[in-house]
Amino acid sequence: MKKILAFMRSMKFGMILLALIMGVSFFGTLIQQGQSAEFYTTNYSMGELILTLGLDNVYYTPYFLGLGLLLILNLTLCSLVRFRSILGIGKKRVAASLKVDEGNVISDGQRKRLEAYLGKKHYRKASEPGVTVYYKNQIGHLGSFFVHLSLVLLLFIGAVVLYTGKSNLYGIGYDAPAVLEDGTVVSLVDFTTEDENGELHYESTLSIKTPDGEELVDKTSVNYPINYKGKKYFQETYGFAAQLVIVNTVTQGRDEIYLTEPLYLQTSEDGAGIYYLTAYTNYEEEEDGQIAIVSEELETGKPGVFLVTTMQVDQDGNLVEETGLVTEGTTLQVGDIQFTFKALRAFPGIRIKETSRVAMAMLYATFGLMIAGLWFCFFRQPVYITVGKRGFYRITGVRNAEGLENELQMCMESDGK
Amino acid sequence: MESTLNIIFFASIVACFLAAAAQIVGNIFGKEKVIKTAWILTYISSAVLLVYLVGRGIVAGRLPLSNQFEFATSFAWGIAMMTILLHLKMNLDWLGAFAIPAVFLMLSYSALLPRDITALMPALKSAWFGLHIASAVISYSSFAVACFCGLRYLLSLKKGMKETDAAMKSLDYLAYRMVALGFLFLTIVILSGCIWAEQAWSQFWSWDPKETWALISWIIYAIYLHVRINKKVKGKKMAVFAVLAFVAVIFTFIGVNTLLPGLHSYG
Repeated sequence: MKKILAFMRSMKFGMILLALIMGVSFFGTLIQQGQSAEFYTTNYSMGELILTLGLDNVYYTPYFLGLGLLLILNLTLCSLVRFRSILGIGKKRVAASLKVDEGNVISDGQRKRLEAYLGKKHYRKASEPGVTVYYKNQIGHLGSFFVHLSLVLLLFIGAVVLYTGKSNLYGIGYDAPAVLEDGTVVSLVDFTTEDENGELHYESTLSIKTPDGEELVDKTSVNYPINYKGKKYFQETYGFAAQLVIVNTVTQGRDEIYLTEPLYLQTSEDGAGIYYLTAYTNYEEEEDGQIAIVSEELETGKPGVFLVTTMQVDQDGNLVEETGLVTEGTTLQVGDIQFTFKALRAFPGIRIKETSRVAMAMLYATFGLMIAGLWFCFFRQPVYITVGKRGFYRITGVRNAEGLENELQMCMESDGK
Repeated sequence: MESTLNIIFFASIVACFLAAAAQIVGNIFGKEKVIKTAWILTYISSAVLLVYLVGRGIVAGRLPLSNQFEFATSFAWGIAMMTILLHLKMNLDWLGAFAIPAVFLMLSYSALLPRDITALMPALKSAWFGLHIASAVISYSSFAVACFCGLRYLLSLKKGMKETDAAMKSLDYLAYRMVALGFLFLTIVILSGCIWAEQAWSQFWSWDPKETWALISWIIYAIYLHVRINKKVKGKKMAVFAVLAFVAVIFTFIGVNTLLPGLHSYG
């Protein structure tokens, strides 16, 4: 058992896990992720093997998640060992350095210059009769521990955020508010795709009404989500809706609706009405006034044309169908009902995400801890210099003392200025 | 203004070519005067490149780091600056013979890319933009210098120098320090990218090819540091490691953008 534990916390095991994670990740970038089974069998000669090994969604396979769990275990055990070893290490190192009784031989003058130099460099010192230890950067002992601890926390909190957070995408139209599980109603006030300079800028103005009656009207855009009452509202995507005004010429009743998908609007029991099919923005008007569709791709900032089938009852009582393109502002009359295609309007897809604030705060703190840990680890290396009154000095604690050795030699060789 | 900028850009490439040629000739034949001239040319080409980047930034009204061309040019300047700083601090004449030709190659690569100044895409309009990408420039430049140290180490071994020589030890140590610096900044790149991604795309990590390859590079250098620090492996093996690891960095930068488009494809 001890041997297994020792292996589980060993650097060797950690390196093996990292190498495996790296290898699996490599395959994940080589093979397109999240496509249909047919895509792999058609496009890859080893499509079946890819599907069997789960390489089509490799980052969510049990073996990849298993590697992550083993890495958490390895890092946790490693951090515990490191924590034990850094307890009181500063004092221990100073005490050990005070016991050093030999090193590079120096003259009395050199020793004085060395001590003056170390004093100038703000080294702290501890003395015993005949020997002084100059030391600095003791915080560097914590570096490696901080890095490993932050990695454990990062993986752990990351998993908590991922699996406990709720995140859903809502297409919010002008007349189609989203009602969330807790009763919050999110309505669209405005959506724009360009800023005042004409540059691309997707921005939604939302009205958020919470069940307790409070309301916030605010803007969300890419990089600047609304953060309100524990939920974040992200501007994620957008779609298009045909804005249609319907007027009953008899009753003067008026309605305005937004069509995002094909819809049949029946006006009478005999089947008359209009059938909205789709909209286009990439088209050309020919000389004879005919409209030719260039592509089905929809673009913002361009007027739309709408593909509509009208169904009218003729004098003989037969239903007559007519399909064609109509431009913005066109009114179609079917019986007593007028349908006016006002405009093609973009509407946003808003992602609403709920994550524990504590978990998020801890995650950000973990990021800071990791950066601090790496800084301490590499750029705050502890240094202990033992200087003996009888003429010697010795450097301990530095991983590569050559640079410091040269620096000290230079200060001792100079005239002390 | 853009045509003036183009002239400055190509002037920096010409100056860099001359500097690279002088660095190589000077170092191969050990000609002091040529080496001195090479460094003067290096300073000039870096200064001209800086003028270009600043000018482009002023015209664009943002940091010149938003697409492949701008990053490649900034990366080239980053390597040049790192080289100049090390030369000034440690008097490393040999570094120019490796670094400046690499800067020239990187500038030649960027010259092949579209140079139009375009508006920033909505996803890039963020306070994290500067930190994230500037950290990547520092990180990649540090790894590049570590790679040059590795190459120099291997060449010196071939020339008969021994691993126990003081110069070889300090070369090995410099490579380690550069990897450590690059690793710190690569970590900043990844973590700032996570925070930014959460604000822009609502999730910290989405296994986008660029993210994944940044992670792969991070793991490779993490292994380097563990082997170097804990296993005390030094010398030839680590020199080879530093050279090979840089291939992953180059792939993350050029290969991913060219072959594996994803969320980070900004032209």
